[in-house]
Formats: sequence, structure tokens, C-alpha cells
Amino acid sequence: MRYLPSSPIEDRALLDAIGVADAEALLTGIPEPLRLRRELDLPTQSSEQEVAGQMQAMANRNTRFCAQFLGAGAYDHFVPSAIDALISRQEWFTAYTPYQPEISQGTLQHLFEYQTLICDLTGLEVTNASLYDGGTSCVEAALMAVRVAKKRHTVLVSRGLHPLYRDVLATNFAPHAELNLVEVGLKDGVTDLADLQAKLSSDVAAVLVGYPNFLGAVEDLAALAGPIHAAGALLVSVTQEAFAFGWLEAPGRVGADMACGEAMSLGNKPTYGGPFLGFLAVKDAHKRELPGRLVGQAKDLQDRTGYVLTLTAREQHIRRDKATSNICSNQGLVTLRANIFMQLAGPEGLRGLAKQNAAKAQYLRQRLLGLPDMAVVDDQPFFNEFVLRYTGDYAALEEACLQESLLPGLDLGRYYPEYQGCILWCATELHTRQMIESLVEILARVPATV
Amino acid sequence: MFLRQREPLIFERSVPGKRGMDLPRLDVPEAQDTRPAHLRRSSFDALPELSEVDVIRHFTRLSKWNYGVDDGIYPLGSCTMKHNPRLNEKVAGLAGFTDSHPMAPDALVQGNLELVYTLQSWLQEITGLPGVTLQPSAGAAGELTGVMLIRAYHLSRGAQRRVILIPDSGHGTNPATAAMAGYDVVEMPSQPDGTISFADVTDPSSGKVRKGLLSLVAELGPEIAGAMITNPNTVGVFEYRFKEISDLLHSIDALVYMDGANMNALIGVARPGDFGVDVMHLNLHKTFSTPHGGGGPGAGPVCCAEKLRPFLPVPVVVRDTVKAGEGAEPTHTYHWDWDRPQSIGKVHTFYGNFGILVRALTYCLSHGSDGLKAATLRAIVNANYIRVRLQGAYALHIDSPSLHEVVFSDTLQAKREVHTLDIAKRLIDHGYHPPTIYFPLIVPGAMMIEPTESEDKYELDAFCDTMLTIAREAEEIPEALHHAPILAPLRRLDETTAARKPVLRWQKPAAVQA
Amino acid sequence: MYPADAKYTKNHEFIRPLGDGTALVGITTYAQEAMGDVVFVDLPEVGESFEAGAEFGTVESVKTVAEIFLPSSGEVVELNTELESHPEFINEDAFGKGWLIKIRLAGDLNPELLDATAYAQLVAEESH
Repeated sequence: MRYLPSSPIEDRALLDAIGVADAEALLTGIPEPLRLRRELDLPTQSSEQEVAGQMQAMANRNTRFCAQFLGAGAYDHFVPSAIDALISRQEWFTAYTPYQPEISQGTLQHLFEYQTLICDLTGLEVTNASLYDGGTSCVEAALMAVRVAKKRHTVLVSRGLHPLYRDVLATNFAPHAELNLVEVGLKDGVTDLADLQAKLSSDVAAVLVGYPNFLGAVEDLAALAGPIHAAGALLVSVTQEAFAFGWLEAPGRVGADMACGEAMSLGNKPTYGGPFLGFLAVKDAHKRELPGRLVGQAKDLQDRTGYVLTLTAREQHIRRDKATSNICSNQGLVTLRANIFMQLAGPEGLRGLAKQNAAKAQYLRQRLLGLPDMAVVDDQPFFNEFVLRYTGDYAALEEACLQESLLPGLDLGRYYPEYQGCILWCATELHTRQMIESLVEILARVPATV
Repeated sequence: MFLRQREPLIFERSVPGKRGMDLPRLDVPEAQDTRPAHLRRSSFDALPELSEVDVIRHFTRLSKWNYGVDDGIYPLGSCTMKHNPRLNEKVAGLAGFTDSHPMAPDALVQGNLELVYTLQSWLQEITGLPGVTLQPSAGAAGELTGVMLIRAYHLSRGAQRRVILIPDSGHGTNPATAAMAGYDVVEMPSQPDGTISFADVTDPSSGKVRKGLLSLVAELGPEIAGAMITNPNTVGVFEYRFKEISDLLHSIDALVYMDGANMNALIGVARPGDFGVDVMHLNLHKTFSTPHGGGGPGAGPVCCAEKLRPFLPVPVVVRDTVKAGEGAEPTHTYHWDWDRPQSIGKVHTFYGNFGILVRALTYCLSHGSDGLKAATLRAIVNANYIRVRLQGAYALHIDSPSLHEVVFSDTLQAKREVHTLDIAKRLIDHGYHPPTIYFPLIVPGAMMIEPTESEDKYELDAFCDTMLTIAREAEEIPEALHHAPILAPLRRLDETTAARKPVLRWQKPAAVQA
Repeated sequence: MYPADAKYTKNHEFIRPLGDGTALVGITTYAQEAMGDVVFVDLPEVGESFEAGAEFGTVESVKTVAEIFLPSSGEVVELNTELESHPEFINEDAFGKGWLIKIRLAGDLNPELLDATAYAQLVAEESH
């Protein structure tokens, strides 16, 4: 076995030094009736060549596309070559959590820079060293809001929030009988202000709103913040497409008290949904309730600047059942991808990419609307995703697209019965005019439903 | 070993006008600005302006202040820092996997579903537990999923139980998880070897009596939803009365959760399903060698007994077998089953840290049943070799052989005012990453060493020689060790001031003054 | 070492009646030594009332956190806001400028509290 340093000579030397006849003799602490007295019923070891072939074959059984017009929480963006090159350095990808700061300054300084940039994107003051993904970031944000608000037990969630984020929230709220998770409806594709006002009360700790929301619409956070703050609740902005931060004002500057969501767009491929990058940024006043690891600046004995994990008393290894969360492992290496991406992009790169995304999506929408069976649903400002009503048969449309190696937009009726017959489309900087024209051409040939 | 030059914060390197990314030509009309005026992105205050050269050099230089698994033994106990095969990285980067979209129809991602199904079947056989979900993103997420399964089980039987029992030797994630799942935590005292005490334990100094397992079960009986038990425990010892514990808990219809953080000591040797475990998690980033990434991403699959399967998170992968005709080889297709009325719901937005699952299956296929067992045995031999070589120079917490890790304390060195922290920091000067220190909490001044199976005798001897040198230094120049490290890029950092006056991000100098 | 005008708990809190129906509450010198450098204290709000033995806040050091319990029932009337920027006062002067809260006592002082001599004896036993 190529990964094991085993050799008969060496094994003997180790066992002799320990003073046992064989490795079995070291297992006497496991009671005999609990021992497995057969080999595992699994294939035996394989060469690198064989395994590479087997895994390649598996990868090949996934359908490849020329273009994916599907976003919905996982966005296909260009990944600069520097990212894979840098994260492949063993100092980055094989290292552990930086518990020993003197020997982990690389990871710690990176995380300090990453935290700085997430704060910049979101317009807030403190962020942690990552959470798992968009859905679980909403859970942490909602539970944190309940702690901050004290004696409030209700969290309102806009129906415009990613449906799978809402599912993850529901799973995690279920064990807490004292907490309520209440949905606020949509009107014209954005959070219904009247419904929100009706549901706000002195028991509401926070309101979670997509920015942009799952339907692609840009929610007016500033308008929502008024009534939410008047009720003494916190506004939590949830962003599932981090490129939007190059197009839309930072949530912290338009009334959001907390910003969370998914930052996979910063340097990652869709990878069947993970590893992704959950983030949560908050105001300085709330930092003691933040879950997860935090990196702070420190001085060494010679007054040189360095970085350490700090405010650790919030965390599970110290506070145990009173901790702000159980999170330990996070998405470390994905934060590195995001940090490298943000540094390469810079302010102009991020703005430029966002502008291109908006341009491509607008062009796609305009071309799709040229088809007789596509129609506007809610005419809201959008970033790189939007909804159109399709009077044809989605299955036929999908089939036609797949024939030509294009992945169409999402059949929205599956998640929103009220949007039955509607499709959520996405375009990014990766979509060339040619791809968009091909899509339109294919759709034009889809037979009309009888 | 370390780069001597200082690498400033990247923000200090920013020069207006530099570009690290050139955008493609725009082949469609410019975007119309449909944004409400107040929602247009205004300034960025920190994003730096750099060339690609700047960025590559920055992260290359920073990397040289890190210690990785390829630098040498990384003896962090409980963290299982084993070799990260490069094949696994290469395979995880295959475009067939990385380009696949999580909302794509099942028929288009058959390779992914086959991968999930195959990895699940390996984990089933390894643990002896039939139910598996790969959705949890990390060990703690797996724990939470597992405890929610326990909760769902009791609810399905009309019971509202409120207590989870956890030994005091357990990881902090255990009690934090139980609390997140809405439970009250009741601590079980452990014996010196970290195993759970059946009898009450009297603290020798304070005289306080802590109730043992038997008293807790008698007293709390129907309130107990389950227990979370790390096995082998955090001292590296197999919980030898595990079957008795699970029988006792099952007798009051409480369930047994096993924290599988140390499962690398059991693969091929014993199966949790055979000793009464109802539900457990595995850490793919420990036992199955997926890289730690400076803190993640990991993956925390949950395996469970038949009676908990109905509650597994949605969706669940299903294999459909098709036979084209008489005598034909069966072919398989796969789909996600979302229609699981008793499911606890989703615990991750999509299907978990899929890229990590790819690496873990690659690890499994490479090792095979024989390689997995050989890895287990070698990890145990290596830990015991370190135990034998260092005993005498360092105080062993327990005398008997341990499994995959060995716990020492600073009792001998403390006589000269040299403590675990000093020893750990001195290891850095000698070019090693320190072991896990001050954990488990039940061992004062703990140094928990886990060599893993990746180390050969040469590496083990080099590390042990260094530890023996430090033990001598502690005798001869104890005062000097208080200053360690002196050869790292930085000396010891003032964590107190960092926590009293936290600086958690860089701000423009003007903004700091304002 | 332990002021005679204060009373003590087994959990190492002190309460020092001021003679006007109010009292200062804090953690003892022994407690702060055991904790190490204090970095943060989490205190209740003025106006909140607690029973004797109820948890009313926490004290954090870099590596640990301690829950603090009220020695005697009462209503919080003042917080030591200086601690927000100077948590080190607890280490430097636990019985003086390191006090945590001032309460208005509800009734008599909790009779189960230890006097300075009994507390000193407890500490001696614990740290032997």
C-alpha cells in the first residue's frame, strides 16, 4: 500500500521496541465479543492507475454542458488559474486549524484579510472565518439574532429566500419549541410589505430577506428596514450570489444589521453544491454573539504584529453547551479561494464582473422575451437572474436544450406552486452572445404544446 | 525553515490602477442601470488593487509561515493529520465533478449519484450501520444531524425527552450540539482512563459527589433521550464497557450516539453497529484523509441503525436496478428520493461538501479493505511506539497500551516550572508542529500525540528524539523554554490584549482615526 | 486577604453590603487568579432582579469562561461600566475597582454565605 510506510523489517523493529509479538496484541483493550473477526466485505486495495480510471469513469457519467443557464444558489463563474495553483501548496491545503499561532501565521493573516474583505463587501464590521454554506449561515444568523434580541422568539423569513435555505432553517428550528419561524409572503416577486407589517411584533427578533432574492429580484432593503427597526427587530440580508456585491450597495449601508449567505461565486465551481462558503457579517456591538472562529490582531513579545484566534470563549471548546454554536471545522480552504479571488479582482474587477453579469442577464432576458411563449412575470430590478413565464411545456424545452448540451433555467413551479409554468434563468460572464443565441434558437424550435 | 522576511497585510500593497484580473470583451450591449439609486454599489474601502504577480507572491510568502503535513509529522491528537494523497486532489478537480450543478436533474448527474451511493455502501460496511447520509459538512454538523435523528425517533414514539448524557472527557462540540438540538446536557464523570464511570465519583479535593451512569439512569430514566460517547475516547482508550452502556441505555429506550472522531482506530477491527451504537458520525477529514485546509472544509457523514433510517435528511440516494433481459448484466441508475415524510429535513443546502466526498471515496478505493485495516493497525503501532519511547521522560496519563493516540502530561517538567505550553512552543523551534495541548480537559497539562499511520520509523524516531531533547532542556535550561519559540517568525503572541481590545479587520488609516 | 466586611460564596463570589440597603458584588481574588487574565465581563441590565444563587453574568479569560451567581437576592441598580474598557481591573483589584454590580438587597443577606475566615479556609482546602 503506497500510502503506508509498512515493511516487514520496520514493522518488526517497532513491535520489538513496544515489546509485543504483533499488532493484535495492542488491541486487547477491545473486548473480544466486540471484535470484527472477518475481513471487511469490500474490494481490496488498488493502484493509483486503477483508481484514477475508476473515478474518471464516474466523472464521465455526469452530463457535460456547453452552457448552464441555471443558477439558483450555485453559480458558474470563471475561476482564475492562480487560485488552484496557490491552494495546491501543501502549506495551505494540508494545514490544520491555526491553534498554534506562531506556526500558523500564514493561515491567520489570510483569514484576517478575508474577514476584512467580507466586511467590505457587506458593509458590516465583524465577520467570522466562515460557516458551511448559505443555508446553514441563515440558521446561525437567525439563532444569533434571537440571542442578541433577548426575550424575542419569532424569526420572520421572506418567501423570497432560497427555498432550500428555508428548508435548512426549518430543520434547525424544529427542536426549539420556544422559537417560531414564520414566513412573510411575496407580492410582485418581492417581500410583501403589508404582510411583513402585519407579522411584525415585539416578539420578532429578526427578518431574513434575500438580496437579491431567489427569484432574482432586488429587494429594497432600505424600505424594509424602516418597519423592521421600528418593531425593534434586526434585518438580516441573505445573499446567495456574492457577485451581486459588485452591483448592489452593501447591505450594511442600507439598513441590514446582519448579512449572511453564500460566497461560492468567489473562486469556486458549482461542484454539485459543495464545498461552498457560508458567511455571516454583523455589527461590532453584536460580535460576542457571533458563532465560529474569529481572527484578531495581536502583538508578539517583541511588539511585532501577528494574528491569533480570538474571542474564543464564545466557542464550543470552551463554553461547551453554552457556546454560540457547535461549529468547529469550517470552510477554511474555500475562504482562501475567496480571498485570492477578491484580491485578484479588486474593486474594479468586482464591479466590472458584476456589470458584465447584469449585461448578460439583461441580454438573455431581452432575447428570450422575443420568443412568443415567454412573458414577463414580475417586472422587478434584477442582477443576473430573472423569472419568465413560459406557456410551453417545460419538459419539451428541457429535452430540446439537453439535446444541444445546454442546461436550461429552473422549473420554478417545483418550489413555488404560484409560479407554475415559470422558469428562473441565470446568465454570468461565462455566457457568450453565441451561447445565448443558440439557446434562443433551440427554444424557438420547441414544439408548442397542444 | 521559515521565511525570514515580513509580509505586510495586502492592503498596504495596494496601488491604484493595478489589475489582477482582465475581463473578457463584452459581446452584448452594456447593462442598463435598473437599480434604484440608493441600491447602487458605492465605494469599496478595503478591496486592494494588485497585479497577479503581487497576489501570487503574497500567498506564496504567507504559506511559508504555515506548517503542513508534508513538512513532517503533525502530531495533533484527535485531529488525525495523515498524508493527503495527491490523486485525491486530482480526482476532485475533474471537470465532470466540478462543473456539475446541484439543481441539475438526476439523470444528468448519474456519476455523482453513483459516487454518493458507493461511498455510502463503504461506510455502511465499515460501521456496520445500514443508514447513511453524506449531507453534514463537518463533524459538528454530523453530530447535530445525529442528535436530531434521536429526537425524531423519540417524537415518533410520542416521547418528549429532554436530556443528553455526555462524559466530561468529550469534545466541546458534543454538549454544544446537544444544546443546539434543544437538549439539556447532563455530564457523566469519567474514570482516569477516560472511560465512563458507572459508579458515583467523589472529587478528592472538594469532596463533591458526581453521579455516575447508574445513578443518572436511575434518576433521570425516561428523561434521557440518549448519550453521546466518543469511542475510542479522547484518551485513546476503547470504552471497554460500551456494550453494557448501550444495553443499559436501550433498556430505558434511550439511544446511543457515537462520536466517530477516532474511528481511524477501529476500521477493520471493530464495528460500532456490532456494539450497540444507534447513530454516529465520521470525520472524512480525519479518518479518510481529506485535507484539513487550514480549518476545513470537512465532511461529517452520519451512519445509523435501521430504526433511525426513516428520519434521515432528505434527499436519500436510491439505486434502481434494470435488467435488459434474461441473462443480461444488470445496470444501475440512481435517483434522489425526496418523498420521506418522517425525515428531519435538510441539514445542508444541497448534498454536503461533495468535493470532499470525492476525495474520501478515492481514499477508500485506493486502500481497499486490506489497506484500511493495515492503516488502522499501523496507526496504533505508531502511537504505542511513541508511548514506549517517551515514557519516563514524560508522564504517561495511563500506563496501559492506548490505541491510535497517547496522552502525556507535564507533571515531570512542572517541577521545574516548565509546562505543556512551553514544551509545545519549544517543539516549534525544533521544526515541528506541537501536539494537541490541554485536551482532554480531564488530564491536567495534557499533551495528546497522534502520529497516524503515515509516519515511518525514521520520522517517528526523529520526533521522539526531539521530544527527549526538550525533556532534557526542561531539566537543564528550564527558564529558556519559557521564551520559546525563538526561531519562528514571531515570538509568543499576547492573546490577552488581542481579546480585550479586539481588532478583527483592517481599516483604512483615516477611518481608524475618525 | 479577604475583607472582613464582605461575605462569600463557595463559588468564589463576594458581596459587600454598603449599609444603605445596597451591596457590591464581584469575584474574589482567588477566583480571578484561577481564571487568569480577564478579557470580558457580561453583566445583566440595571433593573433586573435575581434570586440568591441565580446566574447573573459571566467572566471570560482567554481560555475559559466562568458563570457568576448572585450571593444574595436583589435588584441590579448599577453596573461597573469601567470594566467594559478595563476588564483587567478584576485582576488588579478584585475587591476594589474590579467589582461587577451593585444590587439593592431584597430582604436580609443570604444566611448561607461564608464569612472571611470560613472562606479563607475553603480556599486553603481547595488549593492544597
